[in-house]
Amino acid sequence: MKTAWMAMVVVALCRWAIGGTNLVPNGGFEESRTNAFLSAMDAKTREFYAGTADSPFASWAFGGRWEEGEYRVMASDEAHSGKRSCQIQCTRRGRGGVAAAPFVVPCATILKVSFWIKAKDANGGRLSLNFEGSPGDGWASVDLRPGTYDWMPVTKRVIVPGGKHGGDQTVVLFFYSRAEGSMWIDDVSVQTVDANAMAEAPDEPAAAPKAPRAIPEPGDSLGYRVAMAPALTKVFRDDDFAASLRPAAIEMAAARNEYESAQLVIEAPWRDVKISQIEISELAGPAGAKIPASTMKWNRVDYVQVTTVPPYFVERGVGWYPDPLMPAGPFTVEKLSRTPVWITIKTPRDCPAGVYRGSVRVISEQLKPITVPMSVTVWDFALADQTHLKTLTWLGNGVIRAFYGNDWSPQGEQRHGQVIENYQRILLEHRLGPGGDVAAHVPKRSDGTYDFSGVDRALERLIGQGMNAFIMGSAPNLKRMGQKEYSPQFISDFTAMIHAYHEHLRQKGWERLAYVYTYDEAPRAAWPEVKKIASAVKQAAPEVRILQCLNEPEGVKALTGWVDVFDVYVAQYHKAGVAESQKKGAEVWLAVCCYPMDHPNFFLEYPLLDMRVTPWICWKYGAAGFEYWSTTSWGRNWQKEKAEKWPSAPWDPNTFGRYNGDGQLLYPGENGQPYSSLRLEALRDGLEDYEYLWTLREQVKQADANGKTAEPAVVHAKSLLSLDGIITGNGSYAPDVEKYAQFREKVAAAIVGLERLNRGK
Amino acid sequence: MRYAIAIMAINAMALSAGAANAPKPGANLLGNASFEERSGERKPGEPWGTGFLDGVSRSPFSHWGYGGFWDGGDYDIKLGAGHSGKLSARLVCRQKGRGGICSEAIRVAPGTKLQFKGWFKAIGAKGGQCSVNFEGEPGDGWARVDLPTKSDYEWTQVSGTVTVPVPKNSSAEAPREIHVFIYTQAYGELWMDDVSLTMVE
Repeated sequence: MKTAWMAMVVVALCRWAIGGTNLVPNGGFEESRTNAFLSAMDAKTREFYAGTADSPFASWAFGGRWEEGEYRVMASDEAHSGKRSCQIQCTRRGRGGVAAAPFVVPCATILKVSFWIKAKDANGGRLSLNFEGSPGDGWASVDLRPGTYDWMPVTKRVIVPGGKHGGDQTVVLFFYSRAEGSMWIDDVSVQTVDANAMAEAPDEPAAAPKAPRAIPEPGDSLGYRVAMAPALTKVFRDDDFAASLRPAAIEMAAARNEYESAQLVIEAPWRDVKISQIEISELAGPAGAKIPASTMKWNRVDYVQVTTVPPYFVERGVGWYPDPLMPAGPFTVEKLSRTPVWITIKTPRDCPAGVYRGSVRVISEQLKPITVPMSVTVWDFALADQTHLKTLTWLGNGVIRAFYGNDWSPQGEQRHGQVIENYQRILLEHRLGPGGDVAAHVPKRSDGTYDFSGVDRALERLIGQGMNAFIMGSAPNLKRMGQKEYSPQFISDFTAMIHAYHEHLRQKGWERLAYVYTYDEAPRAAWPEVKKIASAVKQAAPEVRILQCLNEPEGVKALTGWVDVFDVYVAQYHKAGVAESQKKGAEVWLAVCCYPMDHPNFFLEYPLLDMRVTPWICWKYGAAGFEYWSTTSWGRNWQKEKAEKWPSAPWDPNTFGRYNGDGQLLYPGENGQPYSSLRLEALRDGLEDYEYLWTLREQVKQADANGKTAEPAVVHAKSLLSLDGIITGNGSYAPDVEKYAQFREKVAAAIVGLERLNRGK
Repeated sequence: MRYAIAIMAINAMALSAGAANAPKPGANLLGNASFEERSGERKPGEPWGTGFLDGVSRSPFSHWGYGGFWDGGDYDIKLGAGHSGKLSARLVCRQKGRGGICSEAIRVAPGTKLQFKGWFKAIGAKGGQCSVNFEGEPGDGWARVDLPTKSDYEWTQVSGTVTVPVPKNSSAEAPREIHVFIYTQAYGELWMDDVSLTMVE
């Protein structure tokens, strides 16, 4: 009774607070806990604090063990103001956080929440402020900046929802960390905002899109400038210009048979600059060797405008982001902007190692040309054509057909078939296999046999181009079909097809590339059905491998022994207990998707390092494959009613919800030609890095077989293969892009050294 | 709970009164259409924050609600000099996303043709669309009138005609509650004044 009375007092104190009063007591974390905060609450309010215990602070609760995590909360003397702040420190990644005291306000109240935050090594997961309480769990949230940084202020305004019935609402603020490292919170304040007072307050400057500031033109100016940027750097057109630039020079390094890229940035601080051509010369190398100009190409990097504020933390917010790679051709760099040119070389598979030199000439229609020296160091080994990390994505035939307006007439079908081949080819040139939907449907003849001629033609071509995995049949997601179980008829038909198809693939020698895909993103309730269909498939074709994609990581444990391959999100690797299943022989693939939103991920706004590092993480965790759900989910860009289509009309990067660029690694170019993106290029670079590691491991195996295990070069190579110091967790990795270039160079040197050692040189 | 019941009762009275006084052609269905009347102190029975208007707050103008923080945005609502009279409403961007104002519920029969008119001006309204959206019982965004796409323009009259959809699975005659939302998804400022919604014969 006494506790209930106390709770009423607490609530009454906070009730219908007026503007200016902080609704969160002890927002500065200066007061230590002196009594039981949680036990003083009534049962209904206590429900909002499920999973928490009392914290070291008065009026704050703490929960440290959500989602398999282990977090500590402590008073820190690293205060923003006063003597103390609240530090949330990770011991094991999962979720932990603190919750403020509840307060009650009428629905429709405008709240202004402000606080200060700092972080150290808070990587590998999200930091967030979540609004909870009677309007619901997470009725609003703010993603906070991860990483390492000093105190910074955060302000967020929200309107308290009232749902169907309205009335007073109990509001609870939770600060969460899903990251490693530490976050500190201080000076938390929540105030009500009166719309009338807001309306009469003096104007502050309204937000405006970013634009570069003008700079004076020097006397010896050529009228425009050329700068260099590494391939992993996103060049933003609205950033300020540097006062001066160093002379540009393109320097690249690659193995043989490898794609490598760099960016030449054309800046127009003073006037519009019309570029008519970019000329890349042949490269002259050692002992008269040449790399012909035909092995190199350039694309204009275009920008797309993000207007949808995403739910994930983005350093730059909405605005223009570089991504599509447009074909070579004349273009204009508008005054007070810049345009990067993406230069790509594919080193010949037979060129001698050494340094090759040439130049890139930027030719303007109205101004003098600028010539930039270019050098490419070719290392003395070649990458295999084959990609040793299995890769799988889906192209979305329907979207592509709709965008290009190809109907179902014989002519439309023929055009569509050619377009699809163009899309498949560009993906395979980037080592990303389009195997999701190329061979998953086999027509059944009236006599009960199957017609494999179509899939044979497709597989012959695609495997020849490097595809290393494909889906041979999918048991559908029942929920999406409004069904609860696989019918006996479906199971019978499906398993008969799989049996026949597997026999056919075995004769062709392709069976090791094939997977049966069961129930996409199967939820917990569907796991019995997954077991049922998996068991039936295994009975019909015991050697067939079953690939299971999971949103709920607990499924790995539940379905181990039933399916062969688990396809789990990078961010959920530990949570899913994948390592245990790997020990039991399960094959594991990693994936990224809009959920979870943690880094690495492929959103348009995320750094290119995210795409580059994903195959490295696959290596670190022994994943056999990488899956990405789509490359052509073009959102609203393909709708029939659009009179104009991209590139004539602006690109809307919103895929769905508030996710930008998700599943959009390709852009629909003209004449049925797909255009690549910076993100797809970065992924290819990462997949090529994986080939470096694979090549080095092969050399190590050979050295071990030759009894050279104790050689320093072999020991060094093994330490490189662990990726220690660069990949530190499934979501945490070195943020400095330079480190990757340096590491790759070390791996290249180790490959060359071991190759010589193994040849006895 | 008692508070909620009181709101519901007052809302019900307002609705039944509205139904008794069916709108006449030519009459402006929007209250405080020139934004001259301030909302003042909070009054019992205000509909903001409940039901369809969940997530909408009260605005400084009577008969109008305000939502400033949709889609990750942050917009102020401010007083402006009027196109006519003394005042207009301004939505001012602090962070781009979506902000807007909305009318109280208006009851109209399905199939009714409505004409919207309003005066708007913009300052630095780049990077997103501003629009008049028709919502409510017939569905979110069952009709839309786009405002000029220019980022800067002086007072400009915008008009558009919409028809209240006939529901598929319920009585075609029963009046529907609709709301007029005026949204900005742009940077800068969107001004509005002298709006009207009238039935077209």
